[in-house]
Amino acid sequence: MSARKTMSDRETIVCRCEDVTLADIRRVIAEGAGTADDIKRLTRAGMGLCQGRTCRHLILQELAAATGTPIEKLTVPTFRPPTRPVLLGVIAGASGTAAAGSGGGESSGSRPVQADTEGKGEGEGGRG
Amino acid sequence: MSGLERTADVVVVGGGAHGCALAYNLCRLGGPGLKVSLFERAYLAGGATGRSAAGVRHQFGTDINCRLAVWNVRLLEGLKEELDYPYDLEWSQGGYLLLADTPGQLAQFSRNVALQRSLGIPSVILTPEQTAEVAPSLSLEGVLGASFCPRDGHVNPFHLTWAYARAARRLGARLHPYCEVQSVLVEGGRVRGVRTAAGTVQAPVVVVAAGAHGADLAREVGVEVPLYAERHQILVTEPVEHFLDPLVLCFGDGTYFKQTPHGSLLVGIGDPMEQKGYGQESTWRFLEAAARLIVRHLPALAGVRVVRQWAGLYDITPDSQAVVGPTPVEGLWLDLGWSGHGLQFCPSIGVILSQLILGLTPLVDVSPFRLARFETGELVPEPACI
Repeated sequence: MSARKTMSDRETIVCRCEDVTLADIRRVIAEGAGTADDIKRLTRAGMGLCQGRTCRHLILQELAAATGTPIEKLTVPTFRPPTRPVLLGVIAGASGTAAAGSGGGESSGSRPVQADTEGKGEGEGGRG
Repeated sequence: MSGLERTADVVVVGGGAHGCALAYNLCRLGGPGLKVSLFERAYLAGGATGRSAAGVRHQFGTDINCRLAVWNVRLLEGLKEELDYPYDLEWSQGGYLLLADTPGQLAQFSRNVALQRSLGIPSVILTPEQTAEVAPSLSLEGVLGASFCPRDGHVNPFHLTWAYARAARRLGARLHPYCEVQSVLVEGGRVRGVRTAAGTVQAPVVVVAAGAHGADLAREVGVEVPLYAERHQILVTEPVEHFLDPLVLCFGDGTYFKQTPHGSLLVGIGDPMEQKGYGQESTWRFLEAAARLIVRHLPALAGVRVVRQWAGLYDITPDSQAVVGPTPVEGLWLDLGWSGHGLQFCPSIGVILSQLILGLTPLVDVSPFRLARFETGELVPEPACI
Protein backbone atom coordinates (compact mmCIF):
# COMPACT_ATOMS: atom_id res chain seq x y z
CA MET A 1 0.00 0.00 0.00
CA SER A 2 2.96 2.33 0.39
CA ALA A 3 3.07 2.55 -3.39
CA ARG A 4 -0.08 4.66 -3.30
CA LYS A 5 1.93 7.58 -2.03
CA THR A 6 4.24 7.65 -5.00
CA MET A 7 2.09 6.43 -7.87
CA SER A 8 -0.47 8.65 -9.54
CA ASP A 9 -4.17 7.76 -9.43
CA ARG A 10 -4.00 6.85 -13.09
CA GLU A 11 -1.24 4.33 -12.49
CA THR A 12 -2.78 2.75 -9.42
CA ILE A 13 -4.78 -0.32 -10.38
CA VAL A 14 -7.58 -0.96 -7.91
CA CYS A 15 -9.30 -3.83 -9.77
CA ARG A 16 -6.64 -6.08 -11.26
CA CYS A 17 -9.05 -8.31 -13.16
CA GLU A 18 -10.63 -5.46 -15.11
CA ASP A 19 -7.78 -2.91 -15.08
CA VAL A 20 -9.73 -0.24 -13.24
CA THR A 21 -7.59 2.55 -11.81
CA LEU A 22 -7.97 4.68 -8.72
CA ALA A 23 -8.61 7.63 -11.03
CA ASP A 24 -11.54 5.73 -12.62
CA ILE A 25 -13.01 5.04 -9.20
CA ARG A 26 -12.61 8.62 -8.01
CA ARG A 27 -14.10 10.00 -11.21
CA VAL A 28 -17.36 8.05 -10.97
CA ILE A 29 -17.67 8.87 -7.27
CA ALA A 30 -17.35 12.55 -8.18
CA GLU A 31 -20.02 12.04 -10.85
CA GLY A 32 -22.53 10.72 -8.33
CA ALA A 33 -21.83 7.00 -7.86
CA GLY A 34 -22.75 6.73 -4.20
CA THR A 35 -22.37 3.01 -3.50
CA ALA A 36 -20.03 0.15 -4.31
CA ASP A 37 -22.83 -1.26 -6.49
CA ASP A 38 -22.87 1.92 -8.59
CA ILE A 39 -19.08 1.94 -8.93
CA LYS A 40 -19.02 -1.70 -9.95
CA ARG A 41 -21.59 -1.24 -12.67
CA LEU A 42 -20.11 1.92 -14.09
CA THR A 43 -16.46 0.81 -14.12
CA ARG A 44 -16.58 -3.02 -14.04
CA ALA A 45 -14.46 -2.99 -10.86
CA GLY A 46 -15.28 -6.28 -9.12
CA MET A 47 -16.90 -7.91 -12.15
CA GLY A 48 -13.85 -9.91 -13.19
CA LEU A 49 -12.51 -13.35 -12.44
CA CYS A 50 -11.92 -12.77 -8.73
CA GLN A 51 -15.35 -11.10 -8.30
CA GLY A 52 -14.04 -8.31 -6.13
CA ARG A 53 -11.96 -10.28 -3.67
CA THR A 54 -9.07 -7.92 -4.19
CA CYS A 55 -10.71 -4.59 -4.88
CA ARG A 56 -13.86 -4.66 -2.79
CA HIS A 57 -12.25 -3.34 0.34
CA LEU A 58 -10.17 -0.74 -1.50
CA ILE A 59 -13.32 0.62 -3.14
CA LEU A 60 -15.17 0.76 0.15
CA GLN A 61 -12.22 2.70 1.60
CA GLU A 62 -12.45 5.22 -1.22
CA LEU A 63 -16.22 5.56 -0.75
CA ALA A 64 -15.85 5.98 2.99
CA ALA A 65 -13.27 8.72 2.47
CA ALA A 66 -15.37 10.48 -0.17
CA THR A 67 -18.70 10.34 1.66
CA GLY A 68 -17.57 10.50 5.27
CA THR A 69 -19.58 7.33 5.98
CA PRO A 70 -17.92 4.71 8.20
CA ILE A 71 -16.90 1.72 6.11
CA GLU A 72 -19.03 -0.72 8.11
CA LYS A 73 -22.15 1.26 7.22
CA LEU A 74 -21.59 1.03 3.47
CA THR A 75 -23.60 -1.40 1.34
CA VAL A 76 -21.52 -4.27 -0.05
CA PRO A 77 -22.46 -5.77 -3.45
CA THR A 78 -24.14 -9.19 -3.35
CA PHE A 79 -21.97 -12.29 -3.28
CA ARG A 80 -23.07 -14.80 -5.90
CA PRO A 81 -21.95 -18.28 -6.92
CA PRO A 82 -19.77 -19.84 -8.10
CA THR A 83 -17.21 -19.07 -5.42
CA ARG A 84 -14.43 -19.57 -7.92
CA PRO A 85 -14.52 -19.61 -11.72
CA VAL A 86 -15.38 -23.04 -13.11
CA LEU A 87 -15.19 -24.36 -16.66
CA LEU A 88 -18.63 -24.66 -18.25
CA GLY A 89 -17.58 -28.03 -19.64
CA VAL A 90 -16.99 -29.33 -16.14
CA ILE A 91 -20.39 -28.25 -14.93
CA ALA A 92 -22.03 -29.62 -18.04
CA GLY A 93 -20.42 -32.94 -17.27
CA ALA A 94 -18.69 -32.99 -20.64
CA SER A 95 -16.06 -35.68 -20.90
CA GLY A 96 -12.57 -35.40 -22.30
CA THR A 97 -10.63 -32.36 -23.34
CA ALA A 98 -12.00 -29.46 -21.37
CA ALA A 99 -12.86 -31.24 -18.17
CA ALA A 100 -9.44 -31.21 -16.59
CA GLY A 101 -10.63 -29.61 -13.40
CA SER A 102 -12.30 -26.57 -12.07
CA GLY A 103 -10.52 -23.35 -12.80
CA GLY A 104 -7.99 -24.96 -15.09
CA GLY A 105 -6.87 -22.22 -17.42
CA GLU A 106 -5.43 -24.41 -20.15
CA SER A 107 -7.32 -24.36 -23.38
CA SER A 108 -6.44 -27.33 -25.50
CA GLY A 109 -6.65 -27.78 -29.21
CA SER A 110 -8.26 -25.65 -31.85
CA ARG A 111 -11.27 -24.12 -30.15
CA PRO A 112 -12.13 -20.77 -31.69
CA VAL A 113 -12.52 -19.17 -28.30
CA GLN A 114 -9.48 -18.80 -26.11
CA ALA A 115 -9.58 -17.55 -22.60
CA ASP A 116 -7.51 -14.37 -22.74
CA THR A 117 -7.17 -13.92 -19.05
CA GLU A 118 -3.73 -15.42 -18.54
CA GLY A 119 -5.02 -17.15 -15.48
CA LYS A 120 -5.52 -13.92 -13.59
CA GLY A 121 -7.45 -14.40 -10.44
CA GLU A 122 -6.49 -18.03 -10.12
CA GLY A 123 -6.24 -19.07 -6.53
CA GLU A 124 -6.13 -15.53 -5.30
CA GLY A 125 -7.73 -15.01 -1.99
CA GLY A 126 -6.20 -11.65 -1.22
CA ARG A 127 -8.13 -9.40 1.07
CA GLY A 128 -6.78 -6.12 -0.20
CA MET B 1 -28.03 15.48 0.46
CA SER B 2 -30.64 18.07 1.24
CA GLY B 3 -34.03 17.07 2.64
CA LEU B 4 -36.78 15.49 0.62
CA GLU B 5 -38.83 17.83 -1.55
CA ARG B 6 -42.40 18.23 -0.26
CA THR B 7 -44.09 18.39 -3.65
CA ALA B 8 -43.61 17.34 -7.25
CA ASP B 9 -45.65 17.50 -10.44
CA VAL B 10 -44.89 13.89 -11.31
CA VAL B 11 -43.49 11.14 -9.10
CA VAL B 12 -41.91 8.15 -10.84
CA VAL B 13 -41.72 4.94 -8.80
CA GLY B 14 -38.81 2.78 -9.92
CA GLY B 15 -35.26 3.66 -10.97
CA GLY B 16 -34.80 1.11 -13.73
CA ALA B 17 -34.41 1.82 -17.40
CA HIS B 18 -38.10 2.68 -17.78
CA GLY B 19 -38.31 4.98 -14.76
CA CYS B 20 -35.15 6.87 -15.69
CA ALA B 21 -36.12 7.16 -19.38
CA LEU B 22 -39.50 8.46 -18.27
CA ALA B 23 -37.99 11.03 -15.88
CA TYR B 24 -35.72 12.30 -18.64
CA ASN B 25 -38.48 12.56 -21.24
CA LEU B 26 -40.91 14.21 -18.83
CA CYS B 27 -38.31 16.91 -18.12
CA ARG B 28 -37.44 17.28 -21.79
CA LEU B 29 -41.04 17.55 -23.00
CA GLY B 30 -42.49 19.26 -19.94
CA GLY B 31 -39.90 22.03 -19.79
CA PRO B 32 -38.02 23.46 -16.81
CA GLY B 33 -41.26 24.22 -14.93
CA LEU B 34 -42.13 20.55 -14.51
CA LYS B 35 -40.95 19.09 -11.21
CA VAL B 36 -40.15 15.40 -11.56
CA SER B 37 -39.09 13.16 -8.66
CA LEU B 38 -38.00 9.53 -8.97
CA PHE B 39 -37.66 6.95 -6.21
CA GLU B 40 -35.75 3.68 -6.33
CA ARG B 41 -35.53 1.27 -3.43
CA ALA B 42 -31.95 0.14 -4.25
CA TYR B 43 -29.34 1.52 -6.65
CA LEU B 44 -30.36 2.69 -10.12
CA ALA B 45 -30.90 -0.36 -12.36
CA GLY B 46 -30.88 -2.51 -9.21
CA GLY B 47 -34.07 -4.38 -10.11
CA ALA B 48 -35.02 -6.30 -13.23
CA THR B 49 -33.21 -3.80 -15.49
CA GLY B 50 -29.71 -4.59 -14.27
CA ARG B 51 -30.38 -8.31 -14.18
CA SER B 52 -31.55 -8.56 -17.78
CA ALA B 53 -29.55 -9.65 -20.81
CA ALA B 54 -30.58 -6.33 -22.35
CA GLY B 55 -31.34 -7.50 -25.86
CA VAL B 56 -33.05 -5.10 -28.25
CA ARG B 57 -34.99 -6.53 -31.14
CA HIS B 58 -37.51 -5.80 -33.85
CA GLN B 59 -38.53 -9.42 -34.10
CA PHE B 60 -41.85 -9.53 -32.32
CA GLY B 61 -45.10 -11.12 -33.37
CA THR B 62 -47.58 -8.36 -32.56
CA ASP B 63 -48.19 -5.14 -34.45
CA ILE B 64 -47.74 -2.90 -31.41
CA ASN B 65 -44.44 -4.41 -30.31
CA CYS B 66 -43.04 -4.17 -33.84
CA ARG B 67 -44.09 -0.52 -34.17
CA LEU B 68 -42.55 0.33 -30.80
CA ALA B 69 -39.40 -1.66 -31.66
CA VAL B 70 -38.79 0.53 -34.69
CA TRP B 71 -38.71 3.53 -32.35
CA ASN B 72 -36.64 1.75 -29.72
CA VAL B 73 -33.85 1.09 -32.20
CA ARG B 74 -34.12 4.46 -33.91
CA LEU B 75 -33.82 6.24 -30.57
CA LEU B 76 -31.02 3.97 -29.31
CA GLU B 77 -28.94 4.61 -32.41
CA GLY B 78 -28.66 8.27 -31.47
CA LEU B 79 -29.01 7.99 -27.71
CA LYS B 80 -25.41 8.54 -26.60
CA GLU B 81 -25.46 11.87 -28.44
CA GLU B 82 -28.98 12.82 -27.39
CA LEU B 83 -28.19 12.24 -23.73
CA ASP B 84 -24.61 13.55 -24.02
CA TYR B 85 -23.36 10.50 -22.12
CA PRO B 86 -19.57 10.32 -21.72
CA TYR B 87 -19.31 6.52 -21.47
CA ASP B 88 -20.06 3.70 -23.86
CA LEU B 89 -23.64 2.40 -23.87
CA GLU B 90 -22.20 -0.78 -25.43
CA TRP B 91 -24.93 -0.68 -28.03
CA SER B 92 -23.93 -3.54 -30.36
CA GLN B 93 -25.97 -4.02 -33.49
CA GLY B 94 -25.02 -7.58 -34.44
CA GLY B 95 -28.56 -8.73 -35.02
CA TYR B 96 -30.83 -11.18 -33.24
CA LEU B 97 -30.93 -14.79 -34.33
CA LEU B 98 -34.04 -16.78 -33.41
CA LEU B 99 -33.55 -20.52 -33.89
CA ALA B 100 -36.43 -22.88 -34.69
CA ASP B 101 -36.22 -26.62 -34.22
CA THR B 102 -39.82 -27.56 -35.04
CA PRO B 103 -41.90 -26.84 -38.16
CA GLY B 104 -44.43 -25.08 -35.92
CA GLN B 105 -41.82 -22.62 -34.65
CA LEU B 106 -40.58 -21.95 -38.15
CA ALA B 107 -44.14 -21.31 -39.36
CA GLN B 108 -44.64 -18.85 -36.50
CA PHE B 109 -41.35 -17.12 -37.39
CA SER B 110 -42.55 -16.80 -41.00
CA ARG B 111 -45.78 -15.15 -39.88
CA ASN B 112 -43.80 -12.82 -37.59
CA VAL B 113 -41.36 -11.90 -40.36
CA ALA B 114 -44.23 -11.13 -42.75
CA LEU B 115 -45.69 -8.76 -40.15
CA GLN B 116 -42.27 -7.20 -39.45
CA ARG B 117 -41.53 -6.66 -43.14
CA SER B 118 -44.95 -5.04 -43.66
CA LEU B 119 -43.81 -2.45 -41.10
CA GLY B 120 -40.46 -1.83 -42.82
CA ILE B 121 -38.37 -4.08 -40.56
CA PRO B 122 -35.58 -5.84 -42.53
CA SER B 123 -35.94 -9.30 -40.95
CA VAL B 124 -35.54 -12.52 -42.95
CA ILE B 125 -35.97 -16.28 -42.62
CA LEU B 126 -32.66 -18.13 -42.88
CA THR B 127 -31.89 -21.71 -43.86
CA PRO B 128 -29.51 -23.62 -41.57
CA GLU B 129 -26.71 -22.89 -44.08
CA GLN B 130 -27.42 -19.15 -43.99
CA THR B 131 -27.64 -19.35 -40.20
CA ALA B 132 -24.13 -20.78 -40.10
CA GLU B 133 -22.88 -17.71 -41.97
CA VAL B 134 -24.34 -15.38 -39.35
CA ALA B 135 -22.97 -17.40 -36.41
CA PRO B 136 -20.25 -19.83 -37.56
CA SER B 137 -19.47 -21.10 -34.07
CA LEU B 138 -23.03 -22.27 -33.45
CA SER B 139 -23.92 -25.95 -33.43
CA LEU B 140 -26.92 -26.28 -35.74
CA GLU B 141 -27.87 -29.78 -34.76
CA GLY B 142 -31.64 -30.03 -34.94
CA VAL B 143 -32.06 -26.45 -36.21
CA LEU B 144 -34.59 -26.23 -39.05
CA GLY B 145 -34.16 -22.55 -39.73
CA ALA B 146 -33.95 -19.15 -38.16
CA SER B 147 -35.34 -15.67 -38.17
CA PHE B 148 -32.77 -12.86 -38.32
CA CYS B 149 -32.79 -9.08 -38.25
CA PRO B 150 -29.40 -7.40 -38.68
CA ARG B 151 -30.55 -4.19 -37.02
CA ASP B 152 -31.35 -5.84 -33.70
CA GLY B 153 -28.72 -5.79 -30.99
CA HIS B 154 -27.99 -5.45 -27.32
CA VAL B 155 -26.90 -2.81 -24.85
CA ASN B 156 -25.38 -2.44 -21.37
CA PRO B 157 -28.37 -2.04 -19.05
CA PHE B 158 -26.46 -0.14 -16.36
CA HIS B 159 -25.04 2.46 -18.71
CA LEU B 160 -28.38 2.80 -20.48
CA THR B 161 -30.08 3.57 -17.16
CA TRP B 162 -27.31 5.88 -15.97
CA ALA B 163 -27.34 7.74 -19.27
CA TYR B 164 -31.02 8.55 -18.84
CA ALA B 165 -30.56 9.27 -15.14
CA ARG B 166 -27.71 11.73 -15.71
CA ALA B 167 -29.63 13.54 -18.43
CA ALA B 168 -32.74 13.67 -16.24
CA ARG B 169 -30.75 15.16 -13.35
CA ARG B 170 -29.21 17.71 -15.70
CA LEU B 171 -32.75 18.79 -16.68
CA GLY B 172 -33.74 19.18 -13.04
CA ALA B 173 -35.27 15.83 -12.09
CA ARG B 174 -34.68 14.74 -8.50
CA LEU B 175 -33.60 11.12 -8.29
CA HIS B 176 -33.64 9.29 -4.96
CA PRO B 177 -31.90 5.91 -4.99
CA TYR B 178 -32.14 3.82 -1.82
CA CYS B 179 -35.48 5.40 -0.99
CA GLU B 180 -38.39 3.03 -1.25
CA VAL B 181 -41.93 4.13 -2.02
CA GLN B 182 -44.03 2.44 0.67
CA SER B 183 -47.43 3.41 -0.64
CA VAL B 184 -49.27 5.56 -3.14
CA LEU B 185 -51.51 8.10 -1.46
CA VAL B 186 -55.07 8.28 -2.81
CA GLU B 187 -57.94 10.45 -1.65
CA GLY B 188 -61.39 10.60 -3.21
CA GLY B 189 -60.32 8.55 -6.21
CA ARG B 190 -57.39 10.86 -6.95
CA VAL B 191 -53.66 10.43 -6.45
CA ARG B 192 -52.23 12.76 -3.81
CA GLY B 193 -48.61 11.62 -3.76
CA VAL B 194 -46.43 8.92 -2.28
CA ARG B 195 -45.19 7.93 1.13
CA THR B 196 -41.51 7.04 1.01
CA ALA B 197 -38.97 5.78 3.49
CA ALA B 198 -37.79 9.39 3.85
CA GLY B 199 -41.17 11.12 4.07
CA THR B 200 -44.20 12.10 2.05
CA VAL B 201 -44.17 13.86 -1.33
CA GLN B 202 -47.38 15.44 -2.61
CA ALA B 203 -47.98 15.00 -6.33
CA PRO B 204 -51.02 14.95 -8.62
CA VAL B 205 -49.44 12.34 -10.92
CA VAL B 206 -47.67 9.11 -9.91
CA VAL B 207 -46.27 6.66 -12.44
CA VAL B 208 -45.47 3.18 -11.20
CA ALA B 209 -42.63 1.58 -13.18
CA ALA B 210 -41.52 -0.90 -10.55
CA GLY B 211 -42.19 -4.29 -12.12
CA ALA B 212 -43.93 -6.91 -10.01
CA HIS B 213 -43.53 -4.81 -6.86
CA GLY B 214 -45.36 -2.04 -8.68
CA ALA B 215 -48.41 -4.25 -9.04
CA ASP B 216 -48.45 -4.62 -5.24
CA LEU B 217 -48.42 -0.83 -4.82
CA ALA B 218 -51.30 -0.52 -7.28
CA ARG B 219 -53.28 -3.30 -5.62
CA GLU B 220 -53.12 -1.47 -2.28
CA VAL B 221 -55.05 1.42 -3.81
CA GLY B 222 -57.60 -0.85 -5.46
CA VAL B 223 -56.01 -1.18 -8.91
CA GLU B 224 -55.69 -4.87 -9.71
CA VAL B 225 -53.04 -5.80 -12.28
CA PRO B 226 -53.11 -9.52 -13.14
CA LEU B 227 -49.42 -10.36 -13.11
CA TYR B 228 -47.04 -12.56 -11.18
CA ALA B 229 -43.32 -12.47 -10.47
CA GLU B 230 -41.10 -15.25 -11.72
CA ARG B 231 -37.39 -15.70 -11.14
CA HIS B 232 -35.12 -15.92 -14.19
CA GLN B 233 -31.41 -16.59 -14.01
CA ILE B 234 -28.35 -15.69 -16.07
CA LEU B 235 -24.69 -16.61 -15.89
CA VAL B 236 -21.69 -14.72 -17.19
CA THR B 237 -18.35 -16.10 -18.32
CA GLU B 238 -14.83 -14.76 -18.33
CA PRO B 239 -14.04 -12.63 -21.39
CA VAL B 240 -12.89 -14.32 -24.58
CA GLU B 241 -12.00 -12.93 -28.00
CA HIS B 242 -14.96 -11.65 -29.97
CA PHE B 243 -16.54 -14.48 -31.95
CA LEU B 244 -20.33 -14.02 -31.72
CA ASP B 245 -22.16 -11.11 -33.35
CA PRO B 246 -25.87 -11.80 -32.85
CA LEU B 247 -27.83 -12.35 -29.70
CA VAL B 248 -29.21 -15.89 -30.09
CA LEU B 249 -32.62 -17.09 -28.87
CA CYS B 250 -33.33 -20.81 -29.12
CA PHE B 251 -37.07 -21.34 -29.12
CA GLY B 252 -36.72 -25.08 -28.70
CA ASP B 253 -35.04 -25.21 -25.30
CA GLY B 254 -35.40 -21.59 -24.21
CA THR B 255 -31.66 -20.80 -24.17
CA TYR B 256 -30.49 -17.30 -25.06
CA PHE B 257 -27.01 -15.86 -25.12
CA LYS B 258 -24.95 -12.89 -26.23
CA GLN B 259 -21.32 -11.84 -26.21
CA THR B 260 -20.78 -8.42 -24.71
CA PRO B 261 -18.28 -5.94 -26.17
CA HIS B 262 -16.18 -6.72 -23.10
CA GLY B 263 -15.89 -10.31 -24.35
CA SER B 264 -17.87 -12.13 -21.69
CA LEU B 265 -20.88 -14.25 -22.61
CA LEU B 266 -24.24 -13.95 -20.91
CA VAL B 267 -26.34 -17.11 -20.92
CA GLY B 268 -29.94 -17.38 -19.76
CA ILE B 269 -32.67 -19.97 -20.06
CA GLY B 270 -36.45 -19.80 -20.01
CA ASP B 271 -37.18 -22.54 -17.50
CA PRO B 272 -40.87 -23.47 -17.15
CA MET B 273 -40.12 -24.88 -13.70
CA GLU B 274 -38.67 -21.62 -12.36
CA GLN B 275 -39.84 -20.39 -9.02
CA LYS B 276 -42.72 -17.92 -8.82
CA GLY B 277 -42.58 -15.08 -6.34
CA TYR B 278 -39.97 -12.58 -5.24
CA GLY B 279 -37.04 -14.86 -4.39
CA GLN B 280 -33.86 -13.96 -6.27
CA GLU B 281 -31.51 -16.66 -5.00
CA SER B 282 -29.16 -18.36 -7.44
CA THR B 283 -29.58 -22.09 -7.93
CA TRP B 284 -27.29 -24.97 -8.82
CA ARG B 285 -30.12 -26.36 -10.96
CA PHE B 286 -29.86 -23.33 -13.26
CA LEU B 287 -26.07 -23.39 -13.43
CA GLU B 288 -26.06 -27.02 -14.44
CA ALA B 289 -28.88 -26.67 -16.97
CA ALA B 290 -27.42 -23.53 -18.53
CA ALA B 291 -23.93 -25.04 -18.76
CA ARG B 292 -25.30 -28.16 -20.42
CA LEU B 293 -27.38 -26.19 -22.93
CA ILE B 294 -24.77 -23.60 -23.84
CA VAL B 295 -22.10 -26.23 -24.41
CA ARG B 296 -24.52 -27.95 -26.77
CA HIS B 297 -25.15 -24.72 -28.73
CA LEU B 298 -21.59 -23.36 -28.54
CA PRO B 299 -19.31 -26.37 -27.99
CA ALA B 300 -16.24 -24.14 -27.73
CA LEU B 301 -17.54 -22.72 -24.46
CA ALA B 302 -16.74 -25.97 -22.65
CA GLY B 303 -13.27 -24.50 -22.11
CA VAL B 304 -14.47 -21.14 -20.82
CA ARG B 305 -15.12 -20.40 -17.18
CA VAL B 306 -18.29 -19.10 -15.59
CA VAL B 307 -17.52 -16.33 -13.09
CA ARG B 308 -20.94 -15.43 -11.74
CA GLN B 309 -24.61 -16.23 -11.88
CA TRP B 310 -27.51 -14.08 -10.74
CA ALA B 311 -31.28 -13.84 -10.81
CA GLY B 312 -33.93 -11.24 -11.57
CA LEU B 313 -37.69 -11.07 -11.81
CA TYR B 314 -40.03 -11.15 -14.78
CA ASP B 315 -43.43 -9.53 -14.20
CA ILE B 316 -45.69 -11.74 -16.30
CA THR B 317 -49.21 -10.86 -17.48
CA PRO B 318 -51.80 -13.21 -19.03
CA ASP B 319 -50.85 -12.19 -22.60
CA SER B 320 -47.14 -11.53 -21.90
CA GLN B 321 -47.70 -7.89 -22.74
CA ALA B 322 -47.15 -4.72 -20.77
CA VAL B 323 -49.63 -2.52 -18.98
CA VAL B 324 -49.01 1.08 -20.02
CA GLY B 325 -51.40 3.93 -19.39
CA PRO B 326 -53.81 5.47 -16.89
CA THR B 327 -55.84 3.61 -14.26
CA PRO B 328 -59.27 4.14 -12.68
CA VAL B 329 -57.47 6.15 -9.96
CA GLU B 330 -57.08 9.62 -11.43
CA GLY B 331 -53.42 10.58 -11.74
CA LEU B 332 -52.12 7.03 -11.26
CA TRP B 333 -50.33 5.64 -14.31
CA LEU B 334 -48.70 2.26 -14.86
CA ASP B 335 -45.69 1.09 -16.88
CA LEU B 336 -45.11 -2.53 -15.88
CA GLY B 337 -45.97 -6.15 -16.70
CA TRP B 338 -43.39 -6.36 -19.48
CA SER B 339 -43.12 -10.12 -19.03
CA GLY B 340 -39.38 -10.34 -19.62
CA HIS B 341 -38.86 -8.18 -22.71
CA GLY B 342 -39.26 -4.77 -21.11
CA LEU B 343 -35.87 -3.11 -20.93
CA GLN B 344 -35.58 -2.62 -24.69
CA PHE B 345 -38.86 -0.66 -24.75
CA CYS B 346 -37.65 2.12 -22.47
CA PRO B 347 -36.62 4.45 -25.32
CA SER B 348 -40.04 4.49 -26.98
CA ILE B 349 -42.20 4.16 -23.88
CA GLY B 350 -40.23 6.88 -22.09
CA VAL B 351 -41.27 9.28 -24.85
CA ILE B 352 -44.80 7.97 -25.35
CA LEU B 353 -45.82 7.85 -21.70
CA SER B 354 -44.45 11.37 -21.19
CA GLN B 355 -46.49 12.53 -24.16
CA LEU B 356 -49.66 10.92 -22.79
CA ILE B 357 -49.15 12.37 -19.30
CA LEU B 358 -48.50 15.84 -20.74
CA GLY B 359 -51.52 15.65 -23.07
CA LEU B 360 -49.44 15.45 -26.25
CA THR B 361 -49.98 13.16 -29.25
CA PRO B 362 -48.01 9.93 -28.74
CA LEU B 363 -45.49 8.57 -31.24
CA VAL B 364 -47.39 5.27 -31.28
CA ASP B 365 -50.87 4.40 -30.04
CA VAL B 366 -50.30 2.16 -27.02
CA SER B 367 -53.96 1.70 -26.15
CA PRO B 368 -53.65 -2.09 -26.75
CA PHE B 369 -51.61 -2.05 -23.51
CA ARG B 370 -54.49 -0.58 -21.49
CA LEU B 371 -55.26 -2.16 -18.14
CA ALA B 372 -58.94 -2.62 -18.99
CA ARG B 373 -58.14 -5.26 -21.61
CA PHE B 374 -58.01 -7.91 -18.92
CA GLU B 375 -61.64 -7.21 -18.09
CA THR B 376 -62.89 -6.89 -21.65
CA GLY B 377 -60.89 -9.87 -22.88
CA GLU B 378 -59.09 -7.89 -25.60
CA LEU B 379 -55.74 -9.56 -25.02
CA VAL B 380 -52.83 -9.11 -27.46
CA PRO B 381 -50.79 -12.29 -26.94
CA GLU B 382 -47.12 -11.92 -27.91
CA PRO B 383 -45.96 -15.21 -29.48
CA ALA B 384 -42.30 -14.24 -29.83
CA CYS B 385 -41.00 -14.44 -26.30
CA ILE B 386 -39.26 -16.95 -24.10
